[in-house]
This record gives sequence, structure tokens and C-alpha cells, in this order.
Amino acid sequence: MSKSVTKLLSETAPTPDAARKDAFLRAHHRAFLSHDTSTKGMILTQLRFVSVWVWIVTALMMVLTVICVSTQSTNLRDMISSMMPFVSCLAVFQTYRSKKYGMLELEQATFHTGRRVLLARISGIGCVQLLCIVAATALLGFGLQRDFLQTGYALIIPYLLTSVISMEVEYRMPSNGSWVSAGVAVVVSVFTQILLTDAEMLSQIPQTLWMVTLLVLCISLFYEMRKLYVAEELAWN
Amino acid sequence: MSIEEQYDKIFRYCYYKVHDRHLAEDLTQETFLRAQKSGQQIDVSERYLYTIARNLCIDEFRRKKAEAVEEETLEETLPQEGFEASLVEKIALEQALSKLSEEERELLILRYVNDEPFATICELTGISRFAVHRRLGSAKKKLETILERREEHV
Repeated sequence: MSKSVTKLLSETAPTPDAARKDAFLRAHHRAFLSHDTSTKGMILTQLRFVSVWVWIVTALMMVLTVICVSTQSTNLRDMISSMMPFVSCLAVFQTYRSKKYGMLELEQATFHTGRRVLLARISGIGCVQLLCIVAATALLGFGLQRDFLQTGYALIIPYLLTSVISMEVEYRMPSNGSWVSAGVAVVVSVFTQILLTDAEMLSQIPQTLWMVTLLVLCISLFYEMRKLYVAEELAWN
Repeated sequence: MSIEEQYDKIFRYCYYKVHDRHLAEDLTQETFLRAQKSGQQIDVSERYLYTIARNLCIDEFRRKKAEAVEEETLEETLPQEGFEASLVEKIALEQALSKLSEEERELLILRYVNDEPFATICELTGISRFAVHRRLGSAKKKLETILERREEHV
């Protein structure tokens, strides 16, 4: 035989009439799509589109936390704290990915509004990372016998600070924002390391200041997210 | 897998069952409509689609009597000179396939035309993996023999 049977079978397979196929699928496309157009389904779909690096870095943070607790290493704890700006930076990159690749208008024309899609992405990534931060705080607090609040501040404040600044940068500089955001993450990380390693300075900062800083950052983040939310209207107008 | 790819697979499956392009398209579309009516999500239920398609083909056979393949010599059915080699191959292959049993044909189509994994084939045909391997091997060998005999005649 000049040609193997298997190759012959795959090469000579018939194809349906293209026009007829197209007409049928167009006529019934809504019925054949996934029926899950609920908010939960949309959030899960958006999470599936999030780059795997976001989850890898988040998981790495948790792994380091576990190692830190088992080895009782304060250096590792400081390293985790310095890592938080990069965790946040990756999340912000994902949020603005559609705008960067010119997909924003297409997303705004989907079944769900663009703002819902964007918020779904932010809340999906944000919730997962926030849960991880809370878990890490608890683990480090229990494991290293440290003050929970201090540990929590050391993790959440660099994260929120980077988020707020990066979102503002990405909003104002859609083309080069990624590089500047990465720079912001590096600066915040260095700043975090300096602050954490200087125990004397750290002990002088009152609890109230930590809480006020956290509150200001939360409000700023809310403000940035609101800007994203209304961006669709601005884009259309 | 996209809905278009699933459509093509079900079409090929039906075509090799009923040997009629137009009828195969009708059966393919009927398969999708029935799957949709039953509430199954098309994008995750390929096996379900195959099951519906198979049942529809069986119903079609029962509705019109299956046309017996005439025992004609292969030379008579081969096209005249001037046809492209691929068309000759296609016709020869279809004739050779028609000489196999229903089960052998189904196994060959599922595995080598539609590229289905063995797990899917086992579920659809209701036979064990070992039996699928064995029957697929013998069906392939039988098809090769038929095609070789045809080449010798030519």
C-alpha cells in the first residue's frame, strides 16, 4: 500500500457543506453556548482568563509562609512582606490586560457590560489574594508568636500601596504603565524591607498610624476601582 | 473543543454510517437540536452527541431499508482515467469501508478519522479497552487487505 490506512482515513475524511453548517450554527448559536450567564459564571470565566503567573506567585507566597512558620525564620517573614508589592503588581497587570491589548471595546459589547467584566476580574483576583493574605497573617502570627495586627499590616500595607499606585499609573499611562508599575513595586518592596529591618523605627510607629494608613489605602483603592467602573461611560462618550 | 469541530466530527460519524452527505448533514443538525432540547451543555457532552447521532443513524436504517452494497468488481466502480489520485483514493476507501462490519467501521472512524481517545470509544461502544485495541487492529488489517487486493486488480 502506497499510503498507510490511518493516514488515508484522516486525509479523505469528508467535510460538511460550509454554508449549511454556518447557517445552522448561526441560527442556534445562543442555544449552543454555555447557558451559564449568571454573575457567578462570569466571575469564574474571568478567573479562567487570568494569567497563571498570578496564581503561581500567590501560591509561592503561601508556600514561603509555611516554610517560614516551620523554620521560625523572621528573615523569611520580611521577605514575604517585600514580595507583596509584586503580588499586587501582577494582579493590576491582569486587570488592565484588556485595555493594553485593545480588547476593552470588545468586552464592552459582550453579554455582560464591560464594567461588570472588569469588576469581576478585579474582585476575583482580589478575593483570592486577600484570602491568602489573611491566611498568611494567621499562620505567621500563630507560628512566629508575633502580633497579628503588626504581621497583617506588614503584609497588607505594601500590597495595597502598590495596588493603588499601580492602578493610577496604568490608568494614566496605558501604553507604558506596566514598566512604571513594576518600578513602583520595586520601590515599595525596598521601602518595606528597610522599614521592617529597622526594628527601632518600627517600634516607634504607633498602632493608630498603622490603622490610619490602612484606612487611607482602602479608601484610595476604592476610589481607583470606582474610576475603573466609570471608565466605560467615559470611553463611550 | 469548539462547536464547529464537534459539528464536523458528528458529521463524519454520520456520513460513514449512512453514506449520504445530505442525510448526514440532516442527522448532524438533528443531533445538535436534540442535545440542546435535552438541556445538556453541548460544549462538554461529546459522548452524548455521539450517542444521539448513533441512535438517529439506527433509526434511519430502520426507517428506510439499508441499501445492500452490490457485489460489483472494483474495476467497474473506479472512475475513468483523468480523475485526481485523491478522489480515486477516497472512492476506493469508501468502498473498502463498506465491506467491513458496522462495528469495525465505527471503530476505525472514531479512532482514525475523529481522533477520539480510547476512553471515549470504550464508553460509546460498551466494550473494554483491550477489546477495542484488538478489534481496531483487526479492522485496520482487514481494510489494508481489501485495499491491497484492489491495487492488485488495478
